[in-house]
Amino acid sequence: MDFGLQDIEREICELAESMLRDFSTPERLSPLEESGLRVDRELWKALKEAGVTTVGIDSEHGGAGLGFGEVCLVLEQAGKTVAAAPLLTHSVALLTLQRAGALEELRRYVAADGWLAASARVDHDNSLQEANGRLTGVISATPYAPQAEAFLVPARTGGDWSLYLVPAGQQGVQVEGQLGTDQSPMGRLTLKSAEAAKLGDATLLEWLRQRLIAGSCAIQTGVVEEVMRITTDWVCEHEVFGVKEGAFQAVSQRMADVYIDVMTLQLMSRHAASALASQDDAIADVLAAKILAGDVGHRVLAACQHLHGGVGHDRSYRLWRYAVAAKQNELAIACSSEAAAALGAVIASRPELVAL
Amino acid sequence: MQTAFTAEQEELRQYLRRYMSELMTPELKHELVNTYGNEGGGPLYRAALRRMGADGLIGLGWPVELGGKGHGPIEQYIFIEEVTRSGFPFPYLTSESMGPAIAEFGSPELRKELLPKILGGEVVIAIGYTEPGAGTDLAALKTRAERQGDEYVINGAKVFTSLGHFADYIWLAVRTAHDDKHARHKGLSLILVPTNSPGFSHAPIYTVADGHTNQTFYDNVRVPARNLIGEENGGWAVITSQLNRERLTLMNPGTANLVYSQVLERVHEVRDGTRLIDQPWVQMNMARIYAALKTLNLACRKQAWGIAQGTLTAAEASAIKILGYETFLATFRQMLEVLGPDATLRRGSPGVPLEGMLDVLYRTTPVYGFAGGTNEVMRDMVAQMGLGLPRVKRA
Repeated sequence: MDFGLQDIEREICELAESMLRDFSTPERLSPLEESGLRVDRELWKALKEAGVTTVGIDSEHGGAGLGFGEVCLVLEQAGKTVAAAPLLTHSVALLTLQRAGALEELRRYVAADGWLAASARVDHDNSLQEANGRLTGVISATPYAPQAEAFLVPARTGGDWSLYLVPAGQQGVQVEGQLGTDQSPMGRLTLKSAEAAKLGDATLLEWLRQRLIAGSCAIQTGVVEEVMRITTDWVCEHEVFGVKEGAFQAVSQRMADVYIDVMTLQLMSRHAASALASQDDAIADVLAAKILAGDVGHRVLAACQHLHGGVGHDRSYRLWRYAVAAKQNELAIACSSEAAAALGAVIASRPELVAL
Repeated sequence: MQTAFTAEQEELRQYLRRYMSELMTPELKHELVNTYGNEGGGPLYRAALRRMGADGLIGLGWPVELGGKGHGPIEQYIFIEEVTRSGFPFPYLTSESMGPAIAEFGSPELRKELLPKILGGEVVIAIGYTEPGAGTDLAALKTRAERQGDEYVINGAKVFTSLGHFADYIWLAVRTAHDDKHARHKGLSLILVPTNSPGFSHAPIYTVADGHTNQTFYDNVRVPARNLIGEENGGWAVITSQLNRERLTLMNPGTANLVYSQVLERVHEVRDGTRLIDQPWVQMNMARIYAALKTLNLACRKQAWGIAQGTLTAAEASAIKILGYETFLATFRQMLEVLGPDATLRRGSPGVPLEGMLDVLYRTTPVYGFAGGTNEVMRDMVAQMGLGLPRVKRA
């Protein structure tokens, strides 16, 4: 049993956090947000050169050869800094290529300047169908789809879902820009007989989905940790009725609940990540972590924005980007209720996965 | 991060699970449930406790030189989890909290006399802190002890002395300094009072959860001076050290894991071709229950690991205490919902699910909001020590 970080993990966290913090200043973020494409290409280049985007890729394919647990530690730093970089979608897409044995594609996209966009949605807002190795249909809200090098998307052959790789910039691929609540770029893909390579069947799609969910929990962990830090600073400095706000018991009680929420999310998120590092399928604990990520994100931001008063809504103060990032992570993939329903179905069919 | 037990720890866990299920004979269960409000104190309970002592199961975490097994906090945690899971009302505080405190602070005579008895399962100690006017604010307590020669003479009364009706000793907080020179908490001492002392008496307080706690009275009770734990007027250090140890035992998820496992089994039972778990709302409840209990289990394991590493902070320990209470309160309710209207049946009714255990637990749980430190004070500690917020002013 070991709940701590190894030296190498601590180093990765420090390296990633310091790079991401350097680039995630309001001065750099604001113009990117105004441009409509909240991606910092200079930061992205620096992250690639430092190997931060390929932490989980085997060394023979140009990565650091570490596990999914370490990938998620990097994602925590991305959450802490609300960085303008497609780290989750790109890291997990590369891992999926590696898992699928698509090594030529893996090498190509490890070397490329841009990023990969991945979606695992299989609901009514994904109508992609495969026929003769080509995809047709529409899939909405794929994170970081605008200007991505390629897309990993689920599509149906008859009734069965599989996972495909669709290169961008080909005929029959149209990307309409969408804007996420956190101002991140998303895209609605309209495919008309677009060329696609099948990466794997529903098992691989599920493999990708669990890692996207766990990665989003890791980002949420970073977001709420930073929100707690910012709000702690605020209630320790800001005075009301001539005393520090934090000296009111009503405030300290609320901050203690924030501390407990952050503690539990970090624990479950890291547990899910480490489970996925050693096994293909950790569905029960991944979903449990996502229930927490949604609930905790919601509660922590509500408490912390409230404790700031109007300042928590002011775009010239540092909290607002975290408020919208928390909502994005709460709702983007498997919201709490959806995760609970999915976990309930797992409990109904495979109770051995939820023994305590 | 590695959240699983080692192979040896897993083996210990399985061993304890088997051992405890053999220990809990139907006769013992009957005695516990029907006669003693699941608190122990009956002859079969005493015999089972002595058997655990004889089999070397008490004091796993005590150092070898004190007669323990020298195991670490993680093994100790596993012990508490498995014993709690069995439903046996083991006197944790005696062996895990007061025993080590006696080893640390007790006089040589007391250590020699009592430690082997605790390890042998022959002794149960109850805590006497709370008074009618002094609960959360312990420093306000009024029960007095005066030194007369080789004895202390004790006068006063305590409330909520749980187990006090059958315990062999009361771990009693008393005031030994009465002048203004001593700040309120500096005039306290800790004395171990044998319950067979003349002048000791008790009266029951029956609780909403079918349990039984006590008022205890001290009328010129004479206790040898060697029963002083720590120094005279040095009781505060003993109490805080004991309370810190108590927190490891207080929020153990063993009982919750047990009832969860039983509910999980029950919702999968096929009756008239259907299962409870086929209903969407039952699935939602079970999902929420699993997520919450898994989180608590991880938090408690991390706490035990933190104690073993020497890295556990007071903020984290307090946070887990609050988390445990909140988790029990929420998940017991969600489990009862799943059981349907039969959830309202009391223990002993025909057809009562889970032998009525969940109903009793749900009625008991509010106690954990204040036992071992009230959660408002715990939250202040989390905010101040975990986040560095300014001290909350108390009037």
